[in-house]
Amino acid sequence: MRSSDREIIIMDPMFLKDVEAHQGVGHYSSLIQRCRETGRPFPRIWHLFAFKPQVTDPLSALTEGIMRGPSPLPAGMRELIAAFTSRGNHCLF
Amino acid sequence: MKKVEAVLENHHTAPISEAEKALFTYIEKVNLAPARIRQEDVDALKAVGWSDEAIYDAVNVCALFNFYNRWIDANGVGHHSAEIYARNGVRLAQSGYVDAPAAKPG
Repeated sequence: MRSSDREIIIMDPMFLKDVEAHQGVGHYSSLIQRCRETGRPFPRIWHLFAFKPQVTDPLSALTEGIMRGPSPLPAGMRELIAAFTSRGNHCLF
Repeated sequence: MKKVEAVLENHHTAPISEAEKALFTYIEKVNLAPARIRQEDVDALKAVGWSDEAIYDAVNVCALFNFYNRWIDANGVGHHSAEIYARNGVRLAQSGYVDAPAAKPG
């Protein structure tokens, strides 16, 4: 099975085709490239990170800080709050 | 995992402490009706032992995931296979949210 076939089976297309097709030079673009070459599925949120690394690299750092940085709330509790928030928004993420 | 599911299903009846129930009740309001948060809501959390820092950190998580929820739904990123969720869980556990350098084997 070609990697592109596998990707089609697992993933519905995104709404913004240019964002999904974008071939950038950032960290997430190379992660996507590597997965495509080896036929491995990957989280499509990577496309959102890969499109504008200058915008999303700080988002990664912010997320790391909020979810894994020093806090009286254990990381597991923060994950649960995140899942609870997503459930409240009817979002599967 | 049972506890996680129970909290997501109904935090009022989940096997968690009263303080944790109060925190999830507060987060639910932050999530669904943030403009209606009042000093009393925060006072109720302080009364069961939560610090300002814990409340601040919890609100950060809720606000951040409101960004992600909208980002993902608006872009049609939503439907991942279970395999990807499993892989992503492992990746998060191993390297956190800021990915390891590209040269490192994934």
